[in-house]
Amino acid sequence: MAASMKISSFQRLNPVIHERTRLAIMTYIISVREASFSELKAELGLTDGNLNLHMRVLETHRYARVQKSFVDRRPRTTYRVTEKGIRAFQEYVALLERILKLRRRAPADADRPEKG
Amino acid sequence: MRRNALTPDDAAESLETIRSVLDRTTRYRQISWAGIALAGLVAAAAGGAGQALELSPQDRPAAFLALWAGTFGLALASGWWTTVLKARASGERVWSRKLQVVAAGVLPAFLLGGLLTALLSHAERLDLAPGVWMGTYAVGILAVSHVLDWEFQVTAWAFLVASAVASFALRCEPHLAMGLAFGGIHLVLGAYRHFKEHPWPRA
Repeated sequence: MAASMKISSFQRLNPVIHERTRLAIMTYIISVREASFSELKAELGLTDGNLNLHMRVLETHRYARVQKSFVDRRPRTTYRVTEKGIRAFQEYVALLERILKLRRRAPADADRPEKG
Repeated sequence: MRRNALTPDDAAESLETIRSVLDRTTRYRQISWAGIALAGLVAAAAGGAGQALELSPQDRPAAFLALWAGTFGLALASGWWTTVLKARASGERVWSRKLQVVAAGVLPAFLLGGLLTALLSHAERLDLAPGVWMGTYAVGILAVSHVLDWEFQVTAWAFLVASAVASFALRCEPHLAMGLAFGGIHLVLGAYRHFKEHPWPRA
């Protein structure tokens, strides 16, 4: 039972969100609803290139959408997480909870290394 | 690079990432040291002016209230202005969700301060107003201290102590009490925040 649960969990694992930096980015934007590029960079300690790269992945999967505007004649890039992104994030968190519940129920089985 | 398999340890690690990011999103850091210091200067100047003009809360209640309501408005405006500048410099929205949390947290205490002032004015006991203002201000800060840096919590406790001092030891010197508390504490906090944000370069 525990092993089969683990395998099915693995199959549903979302690699876009599972990546640590993107998970942090998604968490941050969902929490504050809208975040600017510079805010994300400062709060999550990322470089321009790194943040750009991950945002492009999230945009490609339509998990985030970008909005470019001008404030006081200065360009401002802000991001929001889409409905699809919120759903994917909720599913990912639910999966984490299930995995941890599984560990509580059958610790030895759940901790066994799994091939990826 | 994370493995493409989700073990319980990975799951716990991911939840820890979410928890630590969520903790960061609740921290409000756009309160400018300059705004705090400016508010302190305005309050200290008002304390000096009130003392020099001898605006007694018992004899000249309207003038006493006008002086400190104006000071409050000016301090609030300078705080807002410097916050706007800081948010713009960092590319953040001014009226962010974090600021909305802070505003919603302090508002009840400020409204209570206004209500108590009206009651004290009606009872002709405005000599008690400084202690009440310091106390409600402290409660307002404490209400949102969980989203602010630790020094704001210390500041709130300093205002509570000041409230007791103003209510008992300095009741006859309302302007001095107000100038020392709202001026002095804000100046110290502003200076601390300045050095925290711009530490001296190591030799």
